[in-house]
Amino acid sequence: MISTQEIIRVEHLTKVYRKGIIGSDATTALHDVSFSIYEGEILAVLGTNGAGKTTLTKCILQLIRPTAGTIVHSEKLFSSSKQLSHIGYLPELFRVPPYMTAQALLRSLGSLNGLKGKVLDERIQYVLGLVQLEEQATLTTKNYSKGMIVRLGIAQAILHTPLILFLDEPTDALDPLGKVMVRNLLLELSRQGTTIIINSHLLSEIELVAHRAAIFHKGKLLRIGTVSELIGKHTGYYVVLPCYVEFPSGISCNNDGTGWKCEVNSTSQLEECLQFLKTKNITPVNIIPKRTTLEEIFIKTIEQQ
Amino acid sequence: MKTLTLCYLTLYKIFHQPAFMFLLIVEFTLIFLLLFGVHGEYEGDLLISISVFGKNIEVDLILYSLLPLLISFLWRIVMFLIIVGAAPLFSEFHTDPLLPLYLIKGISRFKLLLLYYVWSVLIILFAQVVVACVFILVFYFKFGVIITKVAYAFAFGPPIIVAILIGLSAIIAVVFEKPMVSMLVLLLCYYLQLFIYEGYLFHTSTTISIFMYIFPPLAQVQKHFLSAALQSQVFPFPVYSLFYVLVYLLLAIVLFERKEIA
Repeated sequence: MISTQEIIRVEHLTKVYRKGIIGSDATTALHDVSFSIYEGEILAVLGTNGAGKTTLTKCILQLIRPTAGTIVHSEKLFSSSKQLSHIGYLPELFRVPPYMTAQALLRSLGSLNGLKGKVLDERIQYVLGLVQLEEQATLTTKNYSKGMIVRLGIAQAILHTPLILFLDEPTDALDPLGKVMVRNLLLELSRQGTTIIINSHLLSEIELVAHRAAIFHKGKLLRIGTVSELIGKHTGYYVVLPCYVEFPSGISCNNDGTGWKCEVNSTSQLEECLQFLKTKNITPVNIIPKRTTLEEIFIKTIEQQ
Repeated sequence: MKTLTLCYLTLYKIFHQPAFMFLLIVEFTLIFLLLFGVHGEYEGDLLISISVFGKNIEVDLILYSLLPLLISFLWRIVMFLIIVGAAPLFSEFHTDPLLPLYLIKGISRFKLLLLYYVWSVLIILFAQVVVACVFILVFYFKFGVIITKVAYAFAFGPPIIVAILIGLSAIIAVVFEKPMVSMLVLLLCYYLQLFIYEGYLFHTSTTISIFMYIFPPLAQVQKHFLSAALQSQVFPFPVYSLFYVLVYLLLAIVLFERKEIA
């Protein structure tokens, strides 16, 4: 459930990495970024490599210090000792000590989160089940594939039922089945009220799960909004036909292997098209609303820069 | 509970480092050489010579000429190997893939750094004490000699020097994050300051006294333990070496608190 309550607010965040002995070699990873993260939402942070997605996550997690700007965390995210807590994090290129078993890793990290005894055992079993690693739980991680490591990374991130979950490129190393598993898991966590921030450049995946998306390029936040806002309303239709038809009004048809797809650009043109087909006694196989994909929006936004 | 888990995780990480395996190999080789390389030749109950890898050496020669040489030589070898082994032991904590996860779980950086430091020193100390105990037992049962002073020197000398050096390594590790850099700097630091104190590099006492305050007091610590082992004049243990450890650690903690985790 998405609420209007902010859980994190980022204000004028700038991060400059300095290299060289006197810091003469400077790279601006984030430039004057401001936005809010709301409770219960799935926010997709999109961008090309080097857009500043990981830097943003690390700034929010206090792993690196911002050069300028502030990040306001909700009180809920802090433990009784005033330390930032109740956060799940899957780092990009997640690695695990190769000598550890999944069970040992989860047990240790769960203990660090204050879980113990039966509760910890149950949570370990539960999350291993969610990421389908129960059978490999007692194997050392050196025997794991890349996909299994990522799934273990997701398991450790959700082990302590965090209020907010940061996933940095979680589906990169996964096979199609793994991607579906992660997608369903994210939707389920979101239903349970977990706020999820997901960094990715797999836009087709994101489009299926995210409520909002933020597009970054070269450290700047170019656009942010709900996925439907970004994609906009559909701009026409595809009329799928069983055979080729020559339209008088110049509607073009192409065969994409599934049938003849005829592109119409407005509702009135659609009506005109259907009338014409009726006269020819042809029934359309399907009428699909023409939509801009998130990928197209992303590329367009980047190109405008 | 959190601290216990963290102790387990950090120790687990140290135990699984190649450097730790290297240290184990060094220690086991020493024990192996002692057990099987050195034998006593007796005439009745009287020990007349000691056979080192099949070569008989008279007891008197061993006690008055060879032993001091052997101890000094062995000391240098042990110090070299221990520095090579110990430097990565500590500095590799920066490469721990779980480091960002510890930090977002509210584990303080101070606690993390201190734990790695304490474990690294304790492991070296433990390994050396075990070897020293084997020294004592082997010499007692093989030759009827109790070599407590040599054992004391080898048990506590290298760990204390390493404790000072790892303090320095803590700073180097935070800045460079490369175990190899740590190792090279520590070796350089150790040998350079020994050369200085032994007068190979600088000859005036003024220069030496200046360096005395710049470099950690490794030479004094070494003098104390070696002289104890060789039973000559015993130098007082330089308690102020602990001050260096504290200063190094404090600096490392300040740097680590400000460090960005990649």
